[in-house]
Amino acid sequence: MSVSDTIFALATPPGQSAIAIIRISGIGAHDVLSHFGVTGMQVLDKPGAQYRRLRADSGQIIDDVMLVLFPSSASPTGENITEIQCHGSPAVVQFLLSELADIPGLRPAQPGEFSRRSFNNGKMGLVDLEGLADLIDAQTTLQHQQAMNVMTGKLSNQLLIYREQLVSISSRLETIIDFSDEDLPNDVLDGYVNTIKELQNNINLLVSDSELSEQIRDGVKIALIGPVNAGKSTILNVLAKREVAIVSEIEGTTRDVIEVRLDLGGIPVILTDTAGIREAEDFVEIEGIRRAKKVAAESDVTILVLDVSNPDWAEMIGEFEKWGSAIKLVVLNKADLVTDNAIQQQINHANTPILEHAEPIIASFQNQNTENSGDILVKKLAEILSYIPTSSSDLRLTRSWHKSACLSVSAALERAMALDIQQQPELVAEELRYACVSLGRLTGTVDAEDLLDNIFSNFCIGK
Amino acid sequence: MVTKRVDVIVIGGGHAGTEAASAAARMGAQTLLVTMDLDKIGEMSCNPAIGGLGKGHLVREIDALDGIMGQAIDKSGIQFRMLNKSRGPAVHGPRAQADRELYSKAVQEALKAQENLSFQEGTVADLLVENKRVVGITLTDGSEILSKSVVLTTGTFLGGIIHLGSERMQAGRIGEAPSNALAQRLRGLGLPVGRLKTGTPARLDKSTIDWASLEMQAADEKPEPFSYLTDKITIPQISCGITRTTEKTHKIISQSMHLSAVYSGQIEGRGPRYCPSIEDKVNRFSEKSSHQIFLEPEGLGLDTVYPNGISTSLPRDVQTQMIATIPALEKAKILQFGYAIEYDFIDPRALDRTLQLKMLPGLYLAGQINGTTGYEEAAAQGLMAGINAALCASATIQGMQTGFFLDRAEAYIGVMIDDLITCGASEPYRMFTSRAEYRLLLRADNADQRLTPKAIELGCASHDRRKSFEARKQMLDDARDILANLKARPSDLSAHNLPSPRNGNISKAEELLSNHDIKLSDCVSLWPQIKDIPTYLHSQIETNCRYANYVKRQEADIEAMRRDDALQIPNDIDFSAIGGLSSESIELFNRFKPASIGQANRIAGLTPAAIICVLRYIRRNSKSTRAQHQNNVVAR
Repeated sequence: MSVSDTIFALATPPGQSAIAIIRISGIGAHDVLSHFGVTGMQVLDKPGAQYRRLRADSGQIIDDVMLVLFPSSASPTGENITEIQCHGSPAVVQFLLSELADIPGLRPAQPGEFSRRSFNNGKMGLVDLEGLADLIDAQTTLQHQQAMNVMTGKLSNQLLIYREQLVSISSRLETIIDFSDEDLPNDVLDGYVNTIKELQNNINLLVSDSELSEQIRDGVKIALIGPVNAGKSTILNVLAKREVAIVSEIEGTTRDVIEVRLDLGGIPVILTDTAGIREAEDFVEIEGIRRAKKVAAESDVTILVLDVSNPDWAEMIGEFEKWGSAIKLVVLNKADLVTDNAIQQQINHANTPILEHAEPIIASFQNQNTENSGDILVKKLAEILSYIPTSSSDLRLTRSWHKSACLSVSAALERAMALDIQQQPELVAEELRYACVSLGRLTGTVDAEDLLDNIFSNFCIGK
Repeated sequence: MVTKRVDVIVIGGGHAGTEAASAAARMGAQTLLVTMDLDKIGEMSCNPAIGGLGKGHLVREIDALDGIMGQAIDKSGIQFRMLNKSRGPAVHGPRAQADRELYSKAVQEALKAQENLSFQEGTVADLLVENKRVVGITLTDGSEILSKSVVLTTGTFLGGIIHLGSERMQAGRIGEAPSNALAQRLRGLGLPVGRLKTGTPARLDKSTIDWASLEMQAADEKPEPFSYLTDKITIPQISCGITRTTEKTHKIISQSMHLSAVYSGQIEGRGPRYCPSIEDKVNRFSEKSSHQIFLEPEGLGLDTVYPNGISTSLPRDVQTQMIATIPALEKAKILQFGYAIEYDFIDPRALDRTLQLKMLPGLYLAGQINGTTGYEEAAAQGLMAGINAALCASATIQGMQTGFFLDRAEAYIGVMIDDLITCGASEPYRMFTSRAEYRLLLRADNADQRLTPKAIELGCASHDRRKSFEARKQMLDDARDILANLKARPSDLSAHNLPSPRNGNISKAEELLSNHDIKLSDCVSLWPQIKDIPTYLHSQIETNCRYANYVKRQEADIEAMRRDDALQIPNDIDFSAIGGLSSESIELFNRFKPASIGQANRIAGLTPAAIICVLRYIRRNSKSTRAQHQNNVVAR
């Protein structure tokens, strides 16, 4: 992480709101807009606002936004600043933040980093203006509190364990560098690559877990998939307890993707109904199927709905397995139209991993016992959701700079592993030092004394 | 009675004192070196060796600033070895064992040849203080010497007590009186005084060791000098013997542990963890059945051998028994017993970056008095203190001089002094390469490039040093110009058996050399111009290329560090008055009293949020003071 990076952060509180502001500061703050297809912005000698449309690489519209460009001479940080004032939808904000993070030279700001840059560039004078000073004070105090809250409990304990592991690896390496003339055991470096790899895996896992929990904050994605007319839309309606999808007896009614936000036992859920699958010839339906596959692949939980009155139902399972989504739940619908025996026979003959591993829900959603079937499904879903880490209890890197610090630890470890430790231990050590500095931003500085403490307690050094 | 007036007084003739005296005199200050025994100037009290990992870097830096240690060891080294030779150049550690007589002779000769430097034998009884500044010293014979600044390098003499088993002797070194009056005086001044300890092994009679039975370690075939001014090492090189302690040795030590001064609770001072006594090793690493010992002859014509690895404070009879259990030492005669020594040091957080005592301007401290250990650490501080004492003496208005200091990206010397004044010394401080975050930049091979220009600018570099440096620099610049114009297509590289980039791009010579397997000599057939680069510069150029990408990556970090170091925290700041600081942070700020935001960043446990609170407070306060001042002007 460097002071010359361009940094960005959400300047408004997270969550649903009318307007959200993303602030970008640094040398590349104005050029960033070209990544969103915005060109020809004029930078005046004072802040100026312009209304523009942001597009993703694919050409897809992200949002219509107000852009405020500050020249470095008139910006609170003394650097170029761009403010993106977008609609306050978490999806839009999240998308913009992740796009920004992918731009080379850009990274999420650390707490207080904007204030810090202001100070460095002699711009604190602006802060001294009445009112503004208090505002920023409040903001950093809040940021500080938030950071502290996030860093308590399990996450910080886990990070401290990783810090210990990193100190241990680094100190082994420093031992062979600084004490090479000592009477050292031969196995000081044994297995060090594996140790680094293991640490890197753990840190990567923390990052990917936090991505999962990010989704959870926004809602767990559940997709309903299955052949046409199996009852997916009915299930959606039952769960949503209101009519959202068009439910009819004609096959293939749901041609597009329908999304409902639900609260399932306290967990926010985005339930998506997809177009039914059959040998489609209609262009609209082909497109619908393509989208359904995409939704299934991107969701956290997939519910496969099958119509047991259709004799081929068991064979269809094989087709859905190919979609590559993690099917967590199978609903065998319209069970009242056939005998229990017939269903059981087909389950036995089906020979598919899905049915072997998870007990299917046998239900009839279109008849009187809808309520009952709905309850069973909700109960089962709640059970599945309970396996997914939720915001209150588990490890997560909630702030984007936590994540970026972890990613930079992981990248440094990757570079360290690519080097030859016998010939270039000083370069491996340099990469590990970078890893220490990055992790230190989360856990507190790792300094030479930490390494030396470790060395002297593990090795008999000294003549 | 005032007997003399000089610009700078240096107290102590050890490694810190000699460098301080030489540096102050080179700066043009009339300098007086005061020491108890003129013959002992440049004495190696402990291990007769200079350099090592981290320490070797310090010696090169001292030499680059035209200090005396590098040339002295080149004239007296009897076993030169480059440690970590098989590894990257950033962690090469030049080391040499010295003939202790030749070494002190070389130091004394260098000092005698130095202009502006005179000597006086005597013991310092008191410091003369006027208007809260040090203005001279009083000797025990009552004579007073006045000066504009004083450098104090007391080594282990300040309140020194030697422990040998249950014996206790007041001494600065074995057989030499300590400096107790001065110790009293410094405590009286209210300075933060603490106790540290160190130890030394017994010395053995060379002729009573069974050398034939020992594994020997030879010197490097081509000894590499420490000094940029030394062309070649001409002293004959010797080998050392290697032996090990045995289980019998450990048994004797374990049984007598309670008799060791260190373990009987007789010693209060903390010792260095990296220089443990043999008692410590046996106690802390009981699973290790044997410890290595190097038998290092203390000189070409001397009878004494230094058994490196068995420093001890056990009673004499136990030392005799213990040594007899070691292979090849069964019949070894002990010439002097090992001992532990405890001494006063002053918490170095009381110093500013120029090594001047913040509460007593005009007084500079260097060496073990600042909580360090090692000749090289002492010499490096002595050099810096000497330069600053001379700058202080030459200032037209007292207290208005500019100091000379190095930062953490300029030199190991800068790392050491910053560590000391920021974090203090909880044990005797020794240099390691791992302490330097910019290790790839601060190399032994480029110390002259980093520091000699500063010495020239300051005026502490001799004519010879300047000429030699400028010639070398010209050569390096020429070489850089040659290299900058060398490029090759992948096909040309392959034709000369050099690795070519997969992307098909044209390679620059510097890029090619960043690969540690490629040497300049490998490229001569491709680029005949390389023949114009003298071969003695090859390794430096290769090293520069090899680390170039890493060094570049560090540049932004260095820039940030320098900016933070420049943000001073006022001396009189009341941290508890700053809103938003946790009580832990306030406690840390009060304990370490960082002088700059840069130092605060380096204190473990201070969060970025806490540092920003302080930053804002300072900024706002300085504004309001200014505003108040302006109001006053208006009111008048």
